[in-house]
Amino acid sequence: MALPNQQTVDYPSFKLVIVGDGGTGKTTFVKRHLTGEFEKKYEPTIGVEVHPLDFFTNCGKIRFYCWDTAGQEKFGGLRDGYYIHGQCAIIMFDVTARLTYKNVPTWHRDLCRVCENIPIVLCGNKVDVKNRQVKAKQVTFHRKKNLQYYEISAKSNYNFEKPFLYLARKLAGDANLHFVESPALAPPEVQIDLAAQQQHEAELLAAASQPLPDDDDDQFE
Amino acid sequence: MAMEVTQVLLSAQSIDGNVRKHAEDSLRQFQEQNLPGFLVSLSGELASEDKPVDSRKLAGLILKNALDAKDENRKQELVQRWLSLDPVAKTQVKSCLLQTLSSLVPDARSTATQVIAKVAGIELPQKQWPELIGSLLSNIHQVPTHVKQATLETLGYLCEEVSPQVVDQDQVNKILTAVVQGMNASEGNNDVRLAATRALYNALGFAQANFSNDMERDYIMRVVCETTVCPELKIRQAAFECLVSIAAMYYEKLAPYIQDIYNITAKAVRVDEEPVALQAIEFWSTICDEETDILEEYMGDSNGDSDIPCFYFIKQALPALIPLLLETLLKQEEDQDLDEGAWNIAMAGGTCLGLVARTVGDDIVPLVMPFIEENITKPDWRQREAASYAFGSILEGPSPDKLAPLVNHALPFMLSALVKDPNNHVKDTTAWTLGRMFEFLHSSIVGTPIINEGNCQQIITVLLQSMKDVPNVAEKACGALYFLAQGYEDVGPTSPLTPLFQEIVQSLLTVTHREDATESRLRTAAYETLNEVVRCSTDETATLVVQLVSVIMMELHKCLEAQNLSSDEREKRSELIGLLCGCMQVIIQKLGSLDSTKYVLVQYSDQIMRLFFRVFACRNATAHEEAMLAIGALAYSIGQEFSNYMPEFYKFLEMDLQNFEEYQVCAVTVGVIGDICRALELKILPYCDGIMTQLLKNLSSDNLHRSVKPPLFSCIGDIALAIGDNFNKYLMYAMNTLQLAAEMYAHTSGFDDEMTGVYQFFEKWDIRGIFCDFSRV
Repeated sequence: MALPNQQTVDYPSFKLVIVGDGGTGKTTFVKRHLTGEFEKKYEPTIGVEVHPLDFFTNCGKIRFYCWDTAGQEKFGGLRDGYYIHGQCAIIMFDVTARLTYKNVPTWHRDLCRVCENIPIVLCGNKVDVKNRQVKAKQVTFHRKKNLQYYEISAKSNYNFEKPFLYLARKLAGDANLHFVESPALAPPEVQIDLAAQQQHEAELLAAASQPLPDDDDDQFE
Repeated sequence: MAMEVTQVLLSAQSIDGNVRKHAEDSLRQFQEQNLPGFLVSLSGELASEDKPVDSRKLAGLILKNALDAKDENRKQELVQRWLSLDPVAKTQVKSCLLQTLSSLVPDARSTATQVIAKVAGIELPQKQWPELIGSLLSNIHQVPTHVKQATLETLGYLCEEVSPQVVDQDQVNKILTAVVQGMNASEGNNDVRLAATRALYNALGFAQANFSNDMERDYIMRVVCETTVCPELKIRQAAFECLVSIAAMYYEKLAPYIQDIYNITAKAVRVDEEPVALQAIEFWSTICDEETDILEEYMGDSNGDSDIPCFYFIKQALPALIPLLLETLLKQEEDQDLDEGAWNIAMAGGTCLGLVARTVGDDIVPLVMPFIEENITKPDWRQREAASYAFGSILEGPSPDKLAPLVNHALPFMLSALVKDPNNHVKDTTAWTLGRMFEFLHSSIVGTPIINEGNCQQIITVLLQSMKDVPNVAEKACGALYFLAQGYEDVGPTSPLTPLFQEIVQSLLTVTHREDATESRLRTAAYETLNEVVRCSTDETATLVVQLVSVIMMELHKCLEAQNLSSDEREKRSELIGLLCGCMQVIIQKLGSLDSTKYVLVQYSDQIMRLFFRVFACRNATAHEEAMLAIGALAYSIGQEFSNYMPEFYKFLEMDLQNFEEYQVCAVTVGVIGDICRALELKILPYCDGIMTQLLKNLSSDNLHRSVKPPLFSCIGDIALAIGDNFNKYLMYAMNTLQLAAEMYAHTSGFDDEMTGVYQFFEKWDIRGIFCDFSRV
């Protein structure tokens, strides 16, 4: 998603919305990818934090703008207002806290009513904790909504790239897209035409929606 | 009264955190200072055709969030604010919302539909906004299709927000009539049909009375079934989602329609696109879930009666359903074996097949076996993999008597395929199926053992060889070995695994050292399997387990000695340390349970504790937990001898009890204190002042996760048991805390888990007759 006057990059980028109950590990998951560090101390996210996350694929570089949203309602800020123009999403729950799985349908409903028809991954986090309360067999919500489901652990890196790979494939329309370790010196094998097209269309739509600037600087009289 | 909010709404969507925060602060200020003006401005923004779509959409969402919250208390607060708002402002907001249903901009319309439903959810129960439903219904007959689409969407959301009791049944009927007519093929516009179909999905809970009326239900079901063959993909998918929801909500009404539903689901599974086919399969999975629940309730109820009768739809559909599901197994994705979370038509079909097996039991077997026998040797890997997957999927549900002969017959072939099949996908599934065979059919209670003296050696040899395969196959082979070992848990003094124990352990240790052991969670699987092999081993191999102590301690030592690690390597090391401590725990429990080997633990305990103290210094929560659990096992095993380590260990106990942030570590520590009380008994007394003080602080703390509270009560009970009369010193404080907890229970009966600890505490007190002492205080 690129709006005028926003920072943009010259390769495909997507707005990824991350939702789920507080304490399920959303921020840890994002920061894990950003810095490689696992944060133990739980600090609730206030409103939203946006982190650009780059991946190198056999089709070239791509970026996810990760909109890591607050899971606790009292810190929710604009809540589903942050989902606007979301192009893909992750719904996270904690397999050691049954309530966080029970709330998944509500997160999914709110998400789908703002972002229609986007690829969504359901993630069950903290699978390396022994006393998991949501057994793998009990996770059935993805069946109802044709979602992809991954069990992950931000602690041990288990499956932690899988959600991004799945989303990247869906957005690129290329089931064979895969991540590579570092930027390829050779030109990318295949261009992500579909992604570029989506990007272009989003830019056109956003530009066409912009009001003409006026002289009145005061927002509130 | 309206304010210009466009620019601030656009800024609120900036990627730049500073811009976004400033905009959010402005919005919050506006809301706090002038709520009516705020809401009117937002609704005006949403309704304005000349505003950019992004600011309109956000305006609508903020407006909706000003009326609704997930937290019930917060929600009621917002509801009251709306109800007490200036009527002129409310009228203006509602007018803008209805006006926006006519907008040519889809996002503005869809946002307005959500807000209207929220307002209706607040006002209709108060007998306010009486003209809303009539107004919406009259929209249905307007010419512009976009208004019709938005109105149907609104009706669907409204049905979700409002209970049917709040609305006249006559209007309920009209709403459903409008929705179902909108789904009808005679409606030419696909957007309208899609909105209507989704509206019905949202309205199903609202339609209880209509589903109880035969004629009305027939009409609804006929239209839903017809919509499943609509040319538009999204509409077909939405129609099937309605069928899935109807299966869950109105199972007992389905009998007249089940044949037609089978026909349309079969067609969808065979020829439609994947999103539709997945939902068609999901219909039958949902029926399985419903029937399994009914049958379990029937068997669990002492009256032998269930509220809902079971119609045995799955059993009836079996001859036609099974071939359909088996066909799906042949539609694998190319690299599916590397993606264990993959959800596609083959995985959905296999999942449903497994659910059918659990639902109907033995009846499924003769319908599936021909497919397996036919395909297991085919040149095409898809057929071999599908056959193996089918076999694995039906192993839970049918009786062991029915399955054991078939498994015995298939076992040699499966073992051969596991190491000789040229395709990794086939080997992966074959290993998984073997694991399922051992999980469900291999135990001392099965009449005809599938593993016997004749084949045990061969099975082990093949599994150990398979553990040298690629990581995803090796991981499944470890899983199979895990269940094989588990099946011998109650075998008695002699186990067929005894002669093979050393070879098995050596092979598993070799797996943990593979370069690629961190892939597919292989190393974790290998250690978990090693733990299970040790846990289920007999006394015959005790001397080998003793040798294993020094091997694992050496591994742990090397791990702790590693230097100059990158961040990623440090994380991997911590994970490995956790696995090794878990392994130590199992070994300690095994050796501690035998009189002949308990002395070994006393001999090694200095070294063991020194290693664990070093693990604590690593400051990794998971490893810390595992080490703590292992120490609990050691204390339990060596009993009074453990008092030697208390001076140093106490420091960690105290620190962990104060570790609220990593509450899982705190909870484990509380459990370990219970173990130590049982081990030391009176020797715990010198540490009780400190421990009890911290336990009571934890109980009264708001910062500690509530899941830790029940174990705290249990722990106090353990201390009381250990120190007997000496507990009088703490009795007054403990009773005071218990009383507060009991009062909390009286007010919030939902916290059942929290009271478990209290009950446990009193049970222990009863056993010791401490109440006699209490009466003397």
